[in-house]
Amino acid sequence: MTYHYVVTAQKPTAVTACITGNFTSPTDLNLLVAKVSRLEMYIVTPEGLHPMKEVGLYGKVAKMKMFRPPHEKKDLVFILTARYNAMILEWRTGPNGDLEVVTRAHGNVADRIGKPSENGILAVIDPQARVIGLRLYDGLFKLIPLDKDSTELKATSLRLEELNVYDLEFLHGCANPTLILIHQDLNGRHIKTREINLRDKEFIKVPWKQDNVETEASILIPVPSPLGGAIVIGQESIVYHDGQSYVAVAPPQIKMTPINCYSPVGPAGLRYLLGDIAGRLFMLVLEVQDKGDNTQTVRDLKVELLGEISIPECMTYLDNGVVFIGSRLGDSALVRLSATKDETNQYVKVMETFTSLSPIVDMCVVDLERQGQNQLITCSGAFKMGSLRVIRNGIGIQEQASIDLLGIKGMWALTLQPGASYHDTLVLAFVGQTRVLTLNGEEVEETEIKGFVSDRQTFFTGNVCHNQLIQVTDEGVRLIVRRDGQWVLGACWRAGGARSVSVVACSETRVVPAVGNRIFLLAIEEGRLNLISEVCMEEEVACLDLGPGGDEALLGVGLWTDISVRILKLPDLTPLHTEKLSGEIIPRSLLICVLEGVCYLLCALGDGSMFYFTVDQHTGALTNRKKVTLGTQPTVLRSFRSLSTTNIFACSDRPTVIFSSNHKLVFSNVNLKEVTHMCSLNAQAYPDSLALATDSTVTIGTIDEIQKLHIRTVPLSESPRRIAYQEATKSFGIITMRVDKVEWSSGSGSTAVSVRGSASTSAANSSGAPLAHPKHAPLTQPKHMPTAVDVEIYNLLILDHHTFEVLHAHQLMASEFALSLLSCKLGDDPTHYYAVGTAMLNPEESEPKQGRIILFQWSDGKLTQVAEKEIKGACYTLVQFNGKLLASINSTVRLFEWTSEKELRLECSHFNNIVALYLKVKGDFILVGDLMRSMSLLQYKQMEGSFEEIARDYSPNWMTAIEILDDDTFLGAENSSNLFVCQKDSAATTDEERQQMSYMGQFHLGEMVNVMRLGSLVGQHADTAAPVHNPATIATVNGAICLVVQLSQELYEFLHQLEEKLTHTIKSVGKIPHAFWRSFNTDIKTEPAEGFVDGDLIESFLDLSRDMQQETIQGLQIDDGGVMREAKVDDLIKIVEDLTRIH
Amino acid sequence: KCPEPRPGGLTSVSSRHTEPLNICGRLVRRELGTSSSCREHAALAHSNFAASRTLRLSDDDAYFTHAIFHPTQQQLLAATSSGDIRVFNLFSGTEEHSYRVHDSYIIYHIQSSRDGLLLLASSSTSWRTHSALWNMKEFEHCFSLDNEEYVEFSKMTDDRIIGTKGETATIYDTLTGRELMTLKPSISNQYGKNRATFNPTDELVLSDGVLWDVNSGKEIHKFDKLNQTHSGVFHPNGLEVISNTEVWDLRVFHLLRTVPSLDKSEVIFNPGRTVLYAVCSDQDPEERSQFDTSFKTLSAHDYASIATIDVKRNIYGLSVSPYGTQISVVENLGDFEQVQESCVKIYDVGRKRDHEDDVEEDEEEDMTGRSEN
Repeated sequence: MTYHYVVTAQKPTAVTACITGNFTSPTDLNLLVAKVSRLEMYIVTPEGLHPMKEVGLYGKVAKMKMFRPPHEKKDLVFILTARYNAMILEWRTGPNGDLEVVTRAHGNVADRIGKPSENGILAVIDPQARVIGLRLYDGLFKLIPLDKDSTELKATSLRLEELNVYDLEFLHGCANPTLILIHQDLNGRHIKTREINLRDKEFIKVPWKQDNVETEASILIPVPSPLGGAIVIGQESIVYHDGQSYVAVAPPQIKMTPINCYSPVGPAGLRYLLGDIAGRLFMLVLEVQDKGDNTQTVRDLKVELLGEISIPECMTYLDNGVVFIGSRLGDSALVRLSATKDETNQYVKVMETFTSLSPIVDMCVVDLERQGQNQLITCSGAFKMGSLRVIRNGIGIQEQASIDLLGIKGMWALTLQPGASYHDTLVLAFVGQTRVLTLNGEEVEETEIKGFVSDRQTFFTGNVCHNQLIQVTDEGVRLIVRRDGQWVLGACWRAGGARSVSVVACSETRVVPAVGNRIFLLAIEEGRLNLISEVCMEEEVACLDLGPGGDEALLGVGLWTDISVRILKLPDLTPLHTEKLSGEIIPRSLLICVLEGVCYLLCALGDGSMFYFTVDQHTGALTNRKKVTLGTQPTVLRSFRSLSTTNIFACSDRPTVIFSSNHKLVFSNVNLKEVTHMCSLNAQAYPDSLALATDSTVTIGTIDEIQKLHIRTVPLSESPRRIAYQEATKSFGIITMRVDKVEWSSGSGSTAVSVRGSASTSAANSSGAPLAHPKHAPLTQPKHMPTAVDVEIYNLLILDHHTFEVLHAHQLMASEFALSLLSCKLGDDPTHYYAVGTAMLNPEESEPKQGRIILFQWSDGKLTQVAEKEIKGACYTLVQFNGKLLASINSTVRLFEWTSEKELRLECSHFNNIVALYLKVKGDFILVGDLMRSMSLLQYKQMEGSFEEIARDYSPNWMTAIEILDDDTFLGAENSSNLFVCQKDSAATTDEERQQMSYMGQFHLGEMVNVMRLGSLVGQHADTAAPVHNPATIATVNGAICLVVQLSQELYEFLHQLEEKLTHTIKSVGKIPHAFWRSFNTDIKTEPAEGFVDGDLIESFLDLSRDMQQETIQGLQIDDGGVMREAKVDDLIKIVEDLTRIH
Repeated sequence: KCPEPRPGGLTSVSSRHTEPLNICGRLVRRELGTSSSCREHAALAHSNFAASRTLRLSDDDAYFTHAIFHPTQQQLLAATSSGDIRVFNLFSGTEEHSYRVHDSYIIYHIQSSRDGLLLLASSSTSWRTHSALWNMKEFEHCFSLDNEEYVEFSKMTDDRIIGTKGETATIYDTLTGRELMTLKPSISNQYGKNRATFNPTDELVLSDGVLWDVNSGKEIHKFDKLNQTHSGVFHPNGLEVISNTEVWDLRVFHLLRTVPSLDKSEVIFNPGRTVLYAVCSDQDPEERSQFDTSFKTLSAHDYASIATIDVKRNIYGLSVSPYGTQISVVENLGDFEQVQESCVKIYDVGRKRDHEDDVEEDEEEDMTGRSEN
C-alpha cells in the first residue's frame, strides 16, 4: 500500500468572476474576486486595492452574483458551485474585529437526472432581490425564492419551453419578476421575455419577444430603470430592445472578435464596458432622447474602442474610472480609464497587475543556479499574454558587491553625513575590535569615527535622537555627538562592579544594557545619558529587545538557567508576564516587532529552534505560542524593512526570512547557504539593500519582493506550448503558437500577417517556413476590412538560459501543430538534440493522419535540422528511453533507434490505446496515459526488441497527466479534476491480478492538471523533518501548483485522523462537507476520497486559535517512541509546520 | 469556389460554443481550460472498435442469445438458446460456470441488478412465455414471472420489476414478487415488440406507446404511433423518449426530431450517457426475419451518426460494460433456426482494428505488442 499527501504550493490564480459592492460594511467599497475555489475580498482605497480576507471554498465557483435584500445596508453574495452547491454569504466583522464569512443560507440544487446545459450554468437575481433564477439543465428553470429568514436554499423547477438558452437576465422595473432570454431553435436565435408568478411558481405570460436576432447573439445586458429593456450583444451587432422600441447598430470595431464580458459603468445604466476575447476594451453608450412626456427613450448606441487590456474573463467597474479586469489567460489588472487618449492612442492605463500563472500548459524543473534548489519554468498564459514564468521557492538575494572579512560578530549601517537620508557607513564588530567602513559610491574604504572605541567588540551601534550616535561595548554605553562638524564623545555610561555589559537593546530614545542579571534603562538625551530605572532579574540575561511604544514600550528579556522569557514595561521595568520555554536550550536572540498590525515576540534558541508568540501590547501577555525549527545553529533575529513592510531575517545555517501574509507568519528560505549577521542598508549606490555577513565575507545585495514563491515573468506575447531545457548548450527550447491573420485579397490568394510583435517575430535569427513580414497592425481599424481569418503558426524558439533572450525562431509549416518537445542525447552520438513532434492538422478530420518528428541541433548560435521522420499521425509525446527516442503517435507507442547514418529507424510499436497522449519512463518501464482508457504499463524487452503490456487500469479515466512515483506506483490526473494512484502488483498470484493495476488512492483536486514532474521546489539542503518521499509537482489549468508526496502508513493514519477532526472544527464556507468536495467525482461515478491526505486542510490547523487546536486534537493518540500517548498541541504544530515546509 | 474560411485561431481556441472536430484542436483548448467537455472525445472513441476476445460454447447444440457484463465482477453472463446461463471469466476467457435456468427455453434477454446479486431472465417461444428472477450467488430461483414476455428492473434502484405481456405492463416488488400494479392501456397501440420501461426517476412508465404516472397508475399521454414495433425507451437525460426513429420531447410531447438510422433498432446507452448504440433487432421469431450484421453508434446529445460497425455476422444482442470501455456482441452465423456458429465477441471501445493505420509498415507486423486473442 502507498499513502499520499497532496498540498497546494501556489493557489489557483485564474480569475473566474469578480463583483464590486459594499460587502464588508455599508460604506466600504469592495471588490470580490473568485479564483476558481478561492474568494478574495479587497477594499478599494484612494491608494489602491487592499486585500482584506481570503477564504477557500469546497467547490469551484461557477457563478457569483451580488444582491441587496430590502432593509439590508450591505450587499450579499450568491455563489453556485460547479457541483450545484448554492449559498448566500455575508462578510461580517465579528466581535473580535476579525472579518468573517457567514453562510446565511445554503443548499444543493442538483437534480438526479437532467441534461446539464451545454451552454453552461446561468444564474440571475431579480433586481429587487425577490428571487434567484438558475438554468442548470436544458428545458428547466429553477427558482429560489429569497425569503428573509430562510437558511435553506431550495429550488423549484419550472418547465422552460426554450431548450437551447444562451443567456438570460431579469428585466428591471417589472411588477413581477420578468426574465429575458436568448434561445436558439431550428430557425435561429430569438429573444423572449417571460413573466413569473412567484406565488404559484409558474410562468404566466410572454410580455414581448423578438424573433431572429443575430445568429451569434449570446450576451444580454439588462438596462436599469427608468429605461428598462435590455441590450443584446451579437458578434456583429448590438441591439437595444424594451418591448416597444428597437435600436440596432453594427459597429465595425466589434466585428473581428466576439465580446465575452461586460460591466455597467455606474448605476445610471447608460454606459457599459465591453471586453472581447482578443483583450480589447470598448465603451458602449446609450444615447437617449426625451419622448416629450418626461420619459426617455434610447435614440442611438455608440461604441468606442478604448484600448488594449488583459484578455478578460470578467470585469467590474470600481469607481472613478477604475476597472478590475479578471483574466484566466494571464495576469489580471486594475486599469484606469482616462478622458483623453495617451501617446499610444489608448484611453486605458494599467495601474496594477496581479500575477497569474494560469494556464500552466507545460513546465520543467531545473537547478539553474546549481545551488541545490530547483526552479520551475512554466509555459503560462496564452495569446498576447503568453509568457514563461520562472518560479523559485524562497527569497532570492541578488549579490551586488562583496568584501572578504573573517570573523564578523556584528554589523550595523550608520548615516554620518548630517542631513543625509542614505547610509554611508558600515560598522563591523570582531572579537576585541570594531572596524568602520565608509561607503563612497560603490567604493568601500576603512575609516575611523572620532569618539568610537575601536579596540573593543561593539554590541550595538546606531543613529539615535538629536543626531547622535550610540556605541555599546562590554565596558558600557557611549554617546557620540556632533560638535563643530566633528564627532566627539558626548557622554558615557559604565556599569559599576566587576561585570561588564553582556547584551543590549536600543531604540531612538532609549538604551537598555544588561549586566549579568541587572537591567538598566537609560534615556538618550541631548549630549546626556540618563539612568531612569534599574531592575535585577532572577537569572542572568541572555537576550533582550525593546518593543515599539516609546516611553511605555515593552521590553522582552530572555533568561539563562530557568529558560524563560519575561515581559517588562517601561519606564519602571515593571514585570508583566513570565513565559517558561520548555527544554534546556538557552534563548540566544529575542525580537519584538509588529507585522501587519500584530505584535509578535520571537525568541530563537541555541539549537536553531524558535518560539514565537503574539503580544498584547497593553498587558504584555504572550499568547498563541508556537515553535519552529529554523536551522541547527544558534540563530540571530534581525528585523529589516523592504518596500515599506517590516520583515525579519533569521541568521543561521539555514537563513530564513519571516514575514506576515494574511495575518499569518510565513517562513521562507533564502538562496544563501549561511548568514551569521545582517543589517538593512540603504546606501546611495546600494539602495534598499541588505548587508549579510558569513564567516568570511560581507555581501551587499538586494532582496526579492517578499513572498514565499518568487515569480519572474518572461513575456512572449504568444502562446507557449512546450518547454525543454538543454544544459549542454545552456539553452531552453520552447514551442510557441502565434495567431496570424490571413488576409484574402481579391483573387490573388492570401498572406499571413502577424498581428503584433511577439517572441517568434522578434528573434535574433529565424529559419523554417517563410516568415511573413511582421506588419504591426494599427490599433484602430482599417477602413476597409478584408475577410480576415486567424491561423495558428507554430515555432521552435531557442532561448538563452540566463537572459531568456530569443536567440532563434524556427517556423513550422502551415497547419503544422507542434505538440511535443524534448532535449535528448541518442545512442552513441555525443550531440544533444532538440526533438520536435508535430501533426499536420486538417480541421475536417477527427484525427491527424500525418506528422513529423524533427531533430535539431543548436550549436555556435546556429540551429540545424539534422533529421526528419514522417509519421502517420500526431506525435503527442517524446521521451528519451534507453538512448532511443520513444514517441506516442495517435493510438500507438513507438520506439525509434538513432542509426549511425543519423536517421530515426522504427524498432517496435505497441497498439492498445485510443489516443496515447502521455508517456513517462523509468528503467525499462513505460507508463502510457490514454485519452479515455486511463493508464497502462509497458515493459520494453531489450532482447526481443518489443513491448509487453504488463498492467493496466481498466477504469475509464480521461487522462490529462501521468507520473511514475516509484517502481510500482503511478499517479494519474483525469479531466474531471481528480487525482488517483494506481499500483502494479508484480507479486500477485494470478495473471489476472498482475495485469490489473489496483487503486491505491483517489482524490478530487478541484483543478484540472496539465503537467506533472518529479521533484519539488524545496531544495535538497533545506530538507525538512517531515518524513515524506518521492515528491511530484503538478501544475494546473488555473495556474495552481500542487505537491504530491508519499507518506508512511503510520503518518497517513495519524494525519487522516487529524483531517477528520479538522472537518468538524473548521466551518466550511457554504456548509459544503469536506468529504463531498474531495470525493472522486466524474460523469459516471462519485466515490469517497481515499489514500490521500488533504494537506490544505491539515495546514489550516496552524490558523486555528490555540483553544480550537486543543479542542480539535481531543483524543488523538501519538506514537512517542513506541508508546502511544495523548497528543499535545505542540506535537501537532511541530508535525504540521514540518509539513508546510515541504513546499 | 474558395473553401469556407474556417474559424481558426483565437475564436477556435477561446470561444465557448464551438468544439473543433480535430482532437489536436480540442487538446489545445483543454490545456487552456476553455473546455473540458468529453462529447467530441467520446465520439472519437466510439468510432472504433477492436475485438479483444471471442467466447464460444464448448458444446455445439445451442447458441448464444444474449450476453451482459457482470456489474461488479470481471465476468460475462451469456444466455443460450437451451436455457442456460454461462459465466465466463473475462480475463482468461474460460467458462467458469453454467446454470440451467430455463429448461430448454430460449432466453432472449437477461439483466442483472446493480449489485450483481440478482438476475432477470426473459424467455419466450411461440408456445410459452416465461420470465424469472434468480439469485446470482448460486443461481437459486427466486420467483417466476409466468406470462411475462419481457422483464426489467426499475431505473434508480432495483426494488421493482416491470414485466411486459403484449400491451400490458405489470410492476412487481423485487423482494417479494408481489404484483404492485398493472398498466393496461384503454386503447392498445399494438406495438409488435412492446417493452414496458421505467423512466430514469422511476416516476413514469412507458408501455405500448402510452406514458403512465406510476404513483396514480393513470395514463398521462399516448404518443402518436409512427411505427409498428417499438413502443420506445427513455433517454437517460429524462427529457426525451426515443420511439423507433422518433424522438419526442417528454415535457411537451412534441416531436423533437426524426432519426432514420434508428429504424427498427434497439437503443442502448453507454454509462456516460454520451453515446448510444443502435442494433437493428427486427427479429420476430414468427417472421424468421433477418438479423442485421452491423451496429451503429450515435451521439446521445444530438443523435448524429458516429460510426457503423459491420461485424459480418448476425447480431443477436449487444451490451456495454459497466464503465463503457468494452462491449459484448452476440454474433451468430446462419439461419435463426439453424445457427451454424455462435460466439460472443468482446470489443474494446475506441481501439482501432488491426492497426489499420500501419498496413504499409511491414517491418513491424510481427513486433506488435500484446495482440488480441
